[in-house]
Parts: sequence; structure tokens; C-alpha cells
Amino acid sequence: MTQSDAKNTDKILAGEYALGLLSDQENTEFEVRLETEPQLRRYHANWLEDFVTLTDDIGEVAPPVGFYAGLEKRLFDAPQVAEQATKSGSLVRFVRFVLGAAVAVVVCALILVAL
Amino acid sequence: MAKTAELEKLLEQVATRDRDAFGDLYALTSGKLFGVCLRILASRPKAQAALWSAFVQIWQDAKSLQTSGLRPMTWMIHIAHQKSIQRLRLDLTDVSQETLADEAQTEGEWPEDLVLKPSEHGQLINCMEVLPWERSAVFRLAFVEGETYPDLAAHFDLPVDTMRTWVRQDLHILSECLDR
Repeated sequence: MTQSDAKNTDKILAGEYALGLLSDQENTEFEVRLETEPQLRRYHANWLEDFVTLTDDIGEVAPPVGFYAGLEKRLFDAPQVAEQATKSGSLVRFVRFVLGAAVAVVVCALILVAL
Repeated sequence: MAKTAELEKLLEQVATRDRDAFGDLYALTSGKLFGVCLRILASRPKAQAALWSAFVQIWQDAKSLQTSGLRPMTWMIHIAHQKSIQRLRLDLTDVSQETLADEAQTEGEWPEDLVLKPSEHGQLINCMEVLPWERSAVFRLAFVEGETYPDLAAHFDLPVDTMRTWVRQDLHILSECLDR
């Protein structure tokens, strides 16, 4: 196969991949090559930019109410727990500080009274 | 539809885990992405599941837009399209739906910038006009409806190998026309 033939074969293969026409096995093999072959990535990206224009006439449809709230919960809940834990940690440190300061004041007062 | 620069900015912010930007991005793009999912899957529950997976991936992989070489809307439609096709194929092969539930596939980053020839709106459509109508319909059926080679072959009452030859010949013609 000449270099030009290989180039054309890769272009066509990238087009079939972008169209979603390759088998699972072929998809996997293509994706492995995509990782290391910039020219193949260019072919694929070019086809994709073209084929996406076929969706131009697809109208917008609003997802159901509450969909985003569910998504937020799924994506952000774990960090929020961590954040709350941090906040709880701060509260504990603050209470410890206040108690420590109170004890110090009492000790100082006792010393002054003793003098 | 939102401007490319606006979407790029939002995706940059999403890549830094900016939740407000993610909310704005969702507000601007979810209608179009849900429309694409619905068109492929023709079922609201399935389209919702695909949209869900798509936005999880958009949140997790936003930084890979910069190296993908794609425009932001193309990148997001590509993700929604892939999630929908995966779900469609799973249905066809009768694999448990749970394997896709709430999944977030992390795709590899593309390490180098891509220099693309930007696609002009309508350029592909113009090029497709040189093909016989039934052959140009193949591209819509594959990309927009998620049909496979066997589906397309059944659609046109042709052997699968003939359909494969059609597509490859026509991709070559389109490639020449698009000056790729």
C-alpha cells in the first residue's frame, strides 16, 4: 500500500468511526490509534465537525424539570459532604479555642485572687 | 444558540470545577443535547439517561475540549451522540441497562493541539447533493438515527457488503469535495 493509499484508507476509516458505523472491535482498535496518531485525530475531528451539521435541524427539547437538580446532587454531593466536614472541623476548633480561653481567664482570676 | 466563545469560556470554567459555570452551560446547551438524544433514541427515558451520562462526562472531561480540536458545541454533541449510540446498541444487544446507568466514561486526553480546517455551515450538505438522494440519506440515517451497517442494508434492501462499499465510496467523494 502506498502512502497515499494509507492516507485515504485512514480518512475513510475516520469517517466510518465518526458516523458510528464501526464494530465494537474496530472502534476499540481505532481509539487505540487515536491516542498516538495526530493525523488520524485530525481526520476524525474534521469529519465530526462536518457530520455535526446534520444535527442542525434538530430542535431543542427541554429536559424534565428537576433533571438538573438530580445531576447536581450526583455530581456535587460528595464534595459538599467534604465541605461540611471541613466546616464541622472549624466549629470544633472554635469551641476548643473558646473553652481554652475561658479556662485561662479563670486560672488568671484565681491567681490574682490568691495574690 | 450560544456563541462559540461563550461556550468555550464556560467550559474553561467548568474544567476548574466552577459549578455556576456548569449550571450556565447546562441552561444553554441541554435543550439541544436532549433533542439530539431524543432523535437517536426516540424514547424520553432513554434519552434522559443518555443526557445524564453526557453531562457527567462533560463535567469530568471539560479540560479535554482544549486539546480535542473541536468546537465546544461539536464536542458536546459528540458526547451526547456517543452516549445515545451506546445506549441504542446496548438495547439492541439486550445487555443490561444498568451497565450504563450513571456511568462516567473518562476518555483519554488528546495531547496535541489540532489544526482544523473549520467546517462551514452547509458545506457538507452542498457536497452531499452530488450524491444520489438515497446515498446521501445514508449519512443522516447513520449519524442522526444511529443506524448500523446491517440496519442500513436492511433499510435499502441491500447486502451489508454493498452498503459498506457505498459508504466508503461516498466518504471518498465527500472528502474530495470538502477538500480534506
